[in-house]
Amino acid sequence: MGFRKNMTEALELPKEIMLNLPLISFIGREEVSIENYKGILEYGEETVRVSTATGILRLTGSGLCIKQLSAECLVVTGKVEKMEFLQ
Amino acid sequence: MALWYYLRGYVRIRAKGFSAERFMNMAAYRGVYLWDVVQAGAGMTMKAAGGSLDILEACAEKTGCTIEVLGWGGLPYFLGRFRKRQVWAAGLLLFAAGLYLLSSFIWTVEVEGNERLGEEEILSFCGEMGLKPGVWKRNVDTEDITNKLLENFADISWVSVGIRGTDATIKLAETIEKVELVDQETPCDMVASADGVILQITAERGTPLVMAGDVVQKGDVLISSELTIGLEGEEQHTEYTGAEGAVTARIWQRLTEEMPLQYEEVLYSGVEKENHSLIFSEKELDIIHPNGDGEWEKTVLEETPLSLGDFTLPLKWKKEIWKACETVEKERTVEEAKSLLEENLRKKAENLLSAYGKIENIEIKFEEYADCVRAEAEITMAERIEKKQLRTQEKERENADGI
Repeated sequence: MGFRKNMTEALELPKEIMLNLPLISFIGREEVSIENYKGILEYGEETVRVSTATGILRLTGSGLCIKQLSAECLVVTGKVEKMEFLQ
Repeated sequence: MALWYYLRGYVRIRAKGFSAERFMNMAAYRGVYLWDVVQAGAGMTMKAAGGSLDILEACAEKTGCTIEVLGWGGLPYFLGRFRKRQVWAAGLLLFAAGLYLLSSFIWTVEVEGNERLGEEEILSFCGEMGLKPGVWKRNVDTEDITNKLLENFADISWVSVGIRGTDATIKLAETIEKVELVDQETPCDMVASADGVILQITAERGTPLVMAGDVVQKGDVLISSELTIGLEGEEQHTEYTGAEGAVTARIWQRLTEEMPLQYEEVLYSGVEKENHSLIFSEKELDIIHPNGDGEWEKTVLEETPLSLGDFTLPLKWKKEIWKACETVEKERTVEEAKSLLEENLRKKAENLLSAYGKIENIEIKFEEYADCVRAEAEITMAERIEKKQLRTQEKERENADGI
């Protein structure tokens, strides 16, 4: 893993592909899109837990809603208050 | 993406169970696109592509969830509803057909580029040729009309008849105006246009036949076109020219007028109301009509053609002012009637005058009757009486015979 990381950094290759890491983008605080995720663990209006390669990602807020869900990309909308990595 | 799924049709489902998240993961992994996932009570509702319901059911079975179809949406479903609403669909088709039908008529005809030629003249000619509001667009032969316009109007040097949408536009260019040449060659005489006594005669060309003080009758030759060339005593011959000159004469004219002693006068009460109506070609549809009895004097304020953007409709909006009035019978004295008559006659006499004329004297005689006054005026005026008259072939022959 160490070699792969070093090589990716040295060649400036996109990490989310080479290292299978999630790419998380925020639009303000009302929309979060998570690419390269593994799966949804929990979905509720206040919490969404998503499993990714770097650990479990937890979004906390109110009125959360999954706007899009496909194998590659997950888009959550609503009022996001907190994002944290567990483990 | 959302538009694509709207066009393809989608299904709204509710998933219930302990592991609804697992169900969603599995569905996403199998390539089903899910959107608008919202928590609703114990389960959650979501939308999925309409064709993927089989996969979703398989996923639900494996993960131990129950799914429930809430409804269908999207374009196929929207169109599917018309199977039940046949009249509605027929109306939609009828509307489209009506739109097509109405747009295949000529609605307005416009003329552009005319300065000397009257628009009415061109429009009425085009109407005869079959280009007027209300005709079938396909029956209009623009090339034929273009040619006929060029043939019939000498003043048009270039014309194009174009139909765009429901508007026909006639664009034209006029020829350069002809300078009116004074014809000096064609033999013509100056004759009297009225009886009178000559006051003054100036001949520019031709031989004057009368002198100041002469009494002439209508039709008499004043300035002749005959010119006698050659010195006296030698052999002379006659040439003809276009006579030109000014002849002023004293002429008399008689005018009569009557004025009844009883007359009607219109009194306004000051009440005004507006009337609006819609005009479609010649027919008028009174929409906003003021109520109220009695007599009204109607004055048209404006007529506005209605249009939708650039598209002129054959409709006009007419605005009228209605003034409340009352007709009252009145009587005037003989003296009043006489002064009014004199005024009227003077005005009439002035209207008779040409730019060169002058009134010398007006003599008015009144006759009084029981219910009216009659006036007879004899007007003496100095007026130009010369009139050009072509020397006809016949006359020339006569002259030839005479020599």
